Amino acid sequence: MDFFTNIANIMVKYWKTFLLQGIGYTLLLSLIAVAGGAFFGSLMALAKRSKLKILKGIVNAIVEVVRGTPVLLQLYIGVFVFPMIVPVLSSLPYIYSVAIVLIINSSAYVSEIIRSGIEAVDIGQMEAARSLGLTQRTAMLSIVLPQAIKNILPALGNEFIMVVKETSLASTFFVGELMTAYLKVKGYTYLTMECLVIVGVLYFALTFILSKLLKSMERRMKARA
Amino acid sequence: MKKISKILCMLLCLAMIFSLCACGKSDADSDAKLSVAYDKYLADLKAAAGDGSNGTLTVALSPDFAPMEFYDVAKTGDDAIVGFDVLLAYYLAKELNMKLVLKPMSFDACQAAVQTGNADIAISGFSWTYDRAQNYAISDFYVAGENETQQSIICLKENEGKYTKPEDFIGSKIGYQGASLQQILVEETFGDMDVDTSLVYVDLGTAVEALKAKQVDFLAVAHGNGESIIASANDAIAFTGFDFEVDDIYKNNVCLLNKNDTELLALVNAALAKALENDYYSGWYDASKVYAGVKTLDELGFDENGNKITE
Repeated sequence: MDFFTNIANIMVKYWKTFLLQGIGYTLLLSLIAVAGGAFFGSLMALAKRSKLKILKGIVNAIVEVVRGTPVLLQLYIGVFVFPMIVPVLSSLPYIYSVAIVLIINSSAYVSEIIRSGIEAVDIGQMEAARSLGLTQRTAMLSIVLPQAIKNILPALGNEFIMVVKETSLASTFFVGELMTAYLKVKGYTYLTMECLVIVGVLYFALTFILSKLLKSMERRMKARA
Repeated sequence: MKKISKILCMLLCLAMIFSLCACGKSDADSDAKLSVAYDKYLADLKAAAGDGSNGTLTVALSPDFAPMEFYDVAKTGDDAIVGFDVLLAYYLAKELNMKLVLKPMSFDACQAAVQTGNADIAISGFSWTYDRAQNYAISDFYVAGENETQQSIICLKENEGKYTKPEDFIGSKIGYQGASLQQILVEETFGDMDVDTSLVYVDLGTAVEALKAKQVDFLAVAHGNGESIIASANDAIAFTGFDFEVDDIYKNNVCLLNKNDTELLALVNAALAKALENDYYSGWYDASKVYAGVKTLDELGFDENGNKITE
């Protein structure tokens, strides 16, 4: 019973840290990561389809490196090495470097999502459009992409949920998201299990609500198609 | 869809109950009292600070380690990071006439930050160890009360006082935080005995949970941290009564600086010598301990306005 009283006491005293700050920063970081990731990921997907071999090579290399190394390691490198390259970063709070790393990370995954989304559209669609006299460009924009987007959006939603959980690693640099809230409260109270349960429930509530929202969006899109 | 909205409703209700609880009760009064002595020291240090014309002093620290450094979530910005090492950081900035920037991060990231030049100095309850001395410039010692001079072993309440000499621990499991002074002490003391010392924990909180779950019989901790742990464990945990014999070189804390930063090192050492001479440390440490809820103002000789009573 002590356990639940402790949880209640912690919530009474630290609800702001968990609910406002923790969830706020988690959502903020995830949104920045996915929005930035969607933008740069699209550019990278374009680059991957380009005819310039060098561009293609560079983007492929970035994607492979990002996908082949753990996010925590990328965060360490981002926080400690980026400021050496871009001196402005060293005077800014760590959350900037962390956000940049998360954007790069999510760009790599999103570019793969977009590439596979486009490739999943039957090649016959493109061939039919071309044989009807459409240019490569219009065929891509008005025939292939609209179909590809239906493949891409759900996967993008999943990426968002993944990123929500990945932001927890940013707590290594105390940027304020949910896991940082856990570290702050635990560091003072030494009540580890209780804080973990609170944070666990909050993470689950976040991702559960998000995934349900995405499902209903998907259903609506299917109905329209 | 109905199911989903039901679940959403339930979650919302839960959130509302929590926030209602929060409105009903306020701990602000008692918190203000805990921090009163600390706030006084901090205000003094801030008031004495110069114009910061010598640049910025970036300090890396790992604020999950009461009473040395921890968060007070009632405060905002840099002021939310509190504890003994924070007072020391403000003191150093004042002495060097620099502007202080605190950079919170995990304990091992602190070392990486200093190594890469991301922070000028790491002040986070570090002890001197041979390996650290190889890779960093290490400052002279500073004295955080008995936090380091007394190194103890904690256990579940039922074993309190039963273990007093090293031989008593034969056949048991002793855990500790990885890469800490306690690791060295445990290995030195129990290394050649039949004691299982293979249980290494990333942080103290996890270690305490393992102790409560009886996955480990004992934990080696600095005495000050032990007091914090016991204070929040509702008396489920106690000191065994065994204290390590601590070598002088381990007894106090040090700051870590970048190996090449000899200029700053000299300045820091001069400031530390001055603090030691004027006995600033004990007041800071006692105030931080009260703040962490380990001892009361009264027990450590403060009046209720946070002034140290001197006989």
